[in-house]
Amino acid sequence: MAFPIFFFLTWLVGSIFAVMRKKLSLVENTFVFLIILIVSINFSWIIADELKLITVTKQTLPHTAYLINRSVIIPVLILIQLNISMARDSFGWKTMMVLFSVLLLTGVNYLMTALNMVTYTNWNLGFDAIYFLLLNLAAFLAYRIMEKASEKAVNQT
Amino acid sequence: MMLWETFGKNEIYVLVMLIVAYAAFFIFPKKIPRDITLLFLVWGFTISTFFDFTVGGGLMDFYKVNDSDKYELTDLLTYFLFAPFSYFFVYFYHRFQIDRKTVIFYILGWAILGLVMERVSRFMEVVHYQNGYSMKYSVAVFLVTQTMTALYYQWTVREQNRMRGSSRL
Repeated sequence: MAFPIFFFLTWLVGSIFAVMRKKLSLVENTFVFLIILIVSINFSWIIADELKLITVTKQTLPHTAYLINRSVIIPVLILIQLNISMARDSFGWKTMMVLFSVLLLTGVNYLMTALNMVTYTNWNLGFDAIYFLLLNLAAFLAYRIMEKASEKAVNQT
Repeated sequence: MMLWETFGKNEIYVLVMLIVAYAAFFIFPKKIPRDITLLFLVWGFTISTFFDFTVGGGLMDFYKVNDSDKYELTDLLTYFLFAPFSYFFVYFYHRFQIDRKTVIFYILGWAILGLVMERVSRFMEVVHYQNGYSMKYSVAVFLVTQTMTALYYQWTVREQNRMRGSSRL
C-alpha cells in the first residue's frame, strides 16, 4: 500500500505546486529545490546507511516510495511553504507557514513508519521535526542567496 | 563517514581534476549572469549526487564511487567536480549560440565527452561498476541529463528575458 499512497502524495504536491501562484521566479524555485534535494538526499543516506539510526525496507516498491518522498515530496512541500510564506511580509505569517510545513512533513514521516517503509531504531519523530524546521530555514537561506545573485545579475545589465 | 579508505590514485585524480576544472571556471570570461551561473553549478552537483545515491547506492547499487560504498570525503569532492562541467555545458551552449539545428550535435558531443571522462574515471579507480552495470547504460544517463540540462537552460533564458525585458542572454 505504501507505493500507491506515496505516488498519490507526489502527484498531489506536484500538482499543487504547478497550479499555485508563485512568488519566486523559475530560477529561484529551481535553486531552492536543488539545495533542499541535496540536503534531503545526504541526510537520509547518513541517518539510514551510515549511522543506522533508521532502517529502510528492502522491498522494492516501498523502498521506491521512500526514495520519492526523499527526492520529490520533501523538497516540493518546502517550496510550496516558501512561496506561500513570501506572499506576505509578516513574520508571524512566515512562522505559521514554517510550523505548518514542519507538521505536514513530520506527518508524512509518521506515515512512512506506519506503513513499515522505515523503522526508527535510534530515531524519533521529534528529531524529524527539528530536522524539518532546519530544512525550512535552509530554504529561506537558499532563497536569499539566489535573490542576492539575481540582484547583482540585474545590476550588471 | 570517513575521509578515504586509502589515499590512492583516485584521490589524486579527483584533486587534480578539481583544480583544473575550477581554475578554468575562474579563468574563462564570465558570459553567463551570476544567478544562472550559480543555478547550473548547483544543478551539476545535484545530478551527480542524485544518481550516486539512487542508482549508485541503496537497492540498485550499480556502481561504487572511490574506495568503498561508505560515504567518503572524496565522494563529496567528486560531486563538486560535476558542478563546473554543468556550468561549461551551458557556457558553451551560450558561446556557440546553439540552436535547433545544432543542439543534437552539441548534446551528442557532450555525451561522448562524458563517456570518455567516465572511462578515464574507471581507469583512475574513481568509478567501479557492479551488479551487472556497464558503460552502455551510461549513454542513456548522459543523453537524458544533458538533454534535460539544455532544455532547462533554454527555459530559464526565456523566463529571464521575459522578466528583465532584455535580450542580453
